Amino acid sequence: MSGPDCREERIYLANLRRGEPAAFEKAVRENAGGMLAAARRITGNEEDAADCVQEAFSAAFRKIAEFEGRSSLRTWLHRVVINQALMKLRKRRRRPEESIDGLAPKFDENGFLVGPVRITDETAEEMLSKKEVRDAVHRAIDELPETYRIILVLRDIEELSTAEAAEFLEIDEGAARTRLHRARTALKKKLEPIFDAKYSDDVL
Amino acid sequence: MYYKTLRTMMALMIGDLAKAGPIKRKIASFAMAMLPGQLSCGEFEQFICDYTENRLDPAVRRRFDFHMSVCPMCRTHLAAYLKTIELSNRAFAPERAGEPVEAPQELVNAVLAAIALSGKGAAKPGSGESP
Repeated sequence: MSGPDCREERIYLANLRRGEPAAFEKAVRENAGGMLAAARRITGNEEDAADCVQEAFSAAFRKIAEFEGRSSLRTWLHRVVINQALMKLRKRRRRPEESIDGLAPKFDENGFLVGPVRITDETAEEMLSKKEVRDAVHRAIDELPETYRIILVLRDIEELSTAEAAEFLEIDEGAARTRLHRARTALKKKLEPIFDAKYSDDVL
Repeated sequence: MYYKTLRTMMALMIGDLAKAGPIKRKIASFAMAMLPGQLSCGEFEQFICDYTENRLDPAVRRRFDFHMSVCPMCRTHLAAYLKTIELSNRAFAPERAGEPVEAPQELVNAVLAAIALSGKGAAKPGSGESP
């Protein structure tokens, strides 16, 4: 960041901390859209997502003094809205979750992985350029039981570290990693139909 | 050196495991189990998440890499696992690409109105110093 930009940024943050309405407005205009999208990915619901953004901004501006500028404002607000969205989920009535054991890889009595295993030569980008693939991925993530969907969204979509995700979920890091792994293998199983049926030997 | 020799031996003995019949696979699994400290497919699977986070300690990493090099099934399984991560990550990329996403005006207004209200309550002074 160049000098003047940096100075401008400092003034902006100072104004935010002082509760300057113009600075608040800038923060809302620049960040609300991204925060809404993140809240939607977690709650899966537009109305709840909008509530989360409102609550996140109120919470954020109440504790704006805690924002030390070590991460960007955007990153900080992203964390705040994730927290609101998770609180929203906790308040919702929990439905009993179905087991995903059936989606785990299987091994024979000798410890050998039982096939079929599938992969495609297409890159993720090529695959996602097709609408039906994009929809299938969204749907498959949506269908994961909530416990597994959330850890996958936090880690692989919101790009938190496993440690951060564990902290949000109030579980220890090892448990978070195990859950993440099960979520990924279940999703992989669900996505198999969009991978080529052909066996590709030389993928790595 | 140890691993290179093992790999060559396995290739000579078994050929391509994925195409091997049940008997060859039995032999291979027996051979793998007899080799000191080698991973079964099941153990390999348990290390995948740590592998993606680069958390395997060097000794385990060597066993992991060796298993991958002799087991096409696990190699493919891992490739599909990595592809799955990439797919879920990128499936939402359009709405996450660097630039700020436009928020509905309605939401912006609601947020600003709520802040203005609570602002009065909190009565933030702060006209003290100039920027």
